[in-house]
Amino acid sequence: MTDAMRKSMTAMKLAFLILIALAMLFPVVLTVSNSFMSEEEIGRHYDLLDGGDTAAAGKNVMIRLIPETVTLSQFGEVLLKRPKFLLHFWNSVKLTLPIIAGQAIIGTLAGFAFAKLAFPGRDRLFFVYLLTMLMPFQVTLVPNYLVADKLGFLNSYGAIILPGLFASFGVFLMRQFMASIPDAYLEAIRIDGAGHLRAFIHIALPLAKPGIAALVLLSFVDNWNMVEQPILFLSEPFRQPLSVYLATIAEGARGVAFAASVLYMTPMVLIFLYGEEHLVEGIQMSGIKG
Amino acid sequence: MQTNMERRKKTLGWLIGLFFTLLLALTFLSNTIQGLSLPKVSVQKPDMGGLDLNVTGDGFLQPAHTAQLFAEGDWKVEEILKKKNDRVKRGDALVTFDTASTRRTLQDEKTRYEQQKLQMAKMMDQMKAVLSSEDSAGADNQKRDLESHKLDMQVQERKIADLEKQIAEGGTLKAPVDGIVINVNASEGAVASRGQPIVEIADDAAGYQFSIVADSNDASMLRIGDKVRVQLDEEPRRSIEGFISDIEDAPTGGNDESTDGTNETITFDVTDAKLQPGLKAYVSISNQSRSMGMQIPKSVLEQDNNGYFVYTVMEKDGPLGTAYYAVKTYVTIRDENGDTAVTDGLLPDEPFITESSEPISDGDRVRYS
Repeated sequence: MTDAMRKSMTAMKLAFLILIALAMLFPVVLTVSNSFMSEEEIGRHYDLLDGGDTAAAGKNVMIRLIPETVTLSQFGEVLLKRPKFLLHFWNSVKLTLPIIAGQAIIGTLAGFAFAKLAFPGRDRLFFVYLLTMLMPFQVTLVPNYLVADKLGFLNSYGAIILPGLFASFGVFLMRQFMASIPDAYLEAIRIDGAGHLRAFIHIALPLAKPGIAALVLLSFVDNWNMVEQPILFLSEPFRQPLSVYLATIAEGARGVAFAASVLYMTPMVLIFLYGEEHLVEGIQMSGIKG
Repeated sequence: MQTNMERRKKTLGWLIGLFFTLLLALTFLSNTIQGLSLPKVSVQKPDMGGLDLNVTGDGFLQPAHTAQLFAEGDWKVEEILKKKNDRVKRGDALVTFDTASTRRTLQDEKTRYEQQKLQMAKMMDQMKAVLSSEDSAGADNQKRDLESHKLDMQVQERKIADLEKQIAEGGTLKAPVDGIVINVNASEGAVASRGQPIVEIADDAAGYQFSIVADSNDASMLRIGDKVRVQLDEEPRRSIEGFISDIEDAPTGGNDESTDGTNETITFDVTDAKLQPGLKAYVSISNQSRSMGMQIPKSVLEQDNNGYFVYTVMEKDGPLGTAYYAVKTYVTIRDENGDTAVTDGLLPDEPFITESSEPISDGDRVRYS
């Protein structure tokens, strides 16, 4: 292969990747740019969506990236005139925070045990744990529902938080991280007379920090976006998290849907940027993506 | 490089904190912010009970009946003895006339009577002559003439008696009833015309009356014959009993501001010895309407195709606290007066909206004050 050929190959690869990146980025860019349009403008561009099949025949929704007038009216409308948005936002926070915190604690402890402690049936148990992760979420939904019903958790956040705490993904991720910690460190501290807890706190935990950060990030994205569990477990509309509410806002008030989506996205993007380095590390370590 | 990374992290951390703080603050203020944009309403709870139907008013007493006195002849008024508003007793002299002209006529008539008498004597003499001549036809004729002449004389006698009576009685105009002189239509020295009353006297016996105008809803409980207390504007004030003698539709004025614009004229009769025309009289009649229900001011009533309604306030507990909504509540009007209506369809403790900062419609969220 000549140098020129290699160069053109690289260029082609680059062009292909740029194309894919653009396709991926486009919806996000569209959402952000449209959130600065006035409600009236949104209505004009997307009015075909209201007309049904006949009106839409032969016409397309006008996709505009540049607003006629840049305005923050959508954000004002969502934040000031729709207290429901705020309510659902905090619902999401109420659901997500305990799950993340719980997963971080349980995941690190369990991961440490699976990676560094020797007990009978350890690997078999881990395999069973992995099985639940391999199963699609929808498969465990029905058993989850039945258990929640028996425990009297239906219609409360407990029905979502409790299964979330023990999600196998957290344990799996942390086990992979813990496994990367050289045994020599632990042996050294044991020789100095430390028990498992001391070894965990002083050796495993500081070394697994990037892993915890990755877990927090991935878990946040996962739970912030959850839709099926709330729909299934929570019957009252006002208890639903933002992810579910967002789907309904588009029906009644398309004009503010873009702004609502941007606001929905914001904490995720900020937290992602904040923990970006650890996330990459975490994904590499676990070999899967969230 | 490391510091660059750290700075970026710091900024991001700040941004995350800022975002959540902002949303927290907005949540904290959400009810306040929303409250500001809602129409502010004032409410009131309805009173239970019948409607007070008040009729008040005043009027000036008018005599129910006036005696009109005419002069008996075209006489000059000699003296006016009673003035307007004088109280008179039956038989009191009111006006004296100079009856000279009638007396002269009387004298003339008397003279004519004397002449007729002379002529009668003459005819008697002629009769005697005819009887003696034995002319039977002539005698009959003479007899009839005589009879006719006698009748003429009787007429003349009555005429004289009339005139004498006129002079005797009409010379002084006397009050036929107890009462008050309300009009004197003569001047001393001038000839009183016979066509119009010289004196008018308000008859005490017939009493006085006055009228007021009242809203027909308020007056709905009043009946002809009802006894009422009438206050008189006298010093000292006193009240006498009267009764309703008449209720009839009043002609409505163009700029009447009451809602349906129908009014009633109510006439009261009062009888008392010491009344005088022009006296101001007040009445204030309070009645309770027969129908019981919720009393609401008429001003809050609204109307659409389905009838009358008021806006009531409904409380709903929402996730963000209690919210209030305006709800159309239809009511049936059972009774009404000038400003209040008695209705069915409201609960005793159901607050209804009396005022709103903006026009509201069914289902609107409102702010309670």
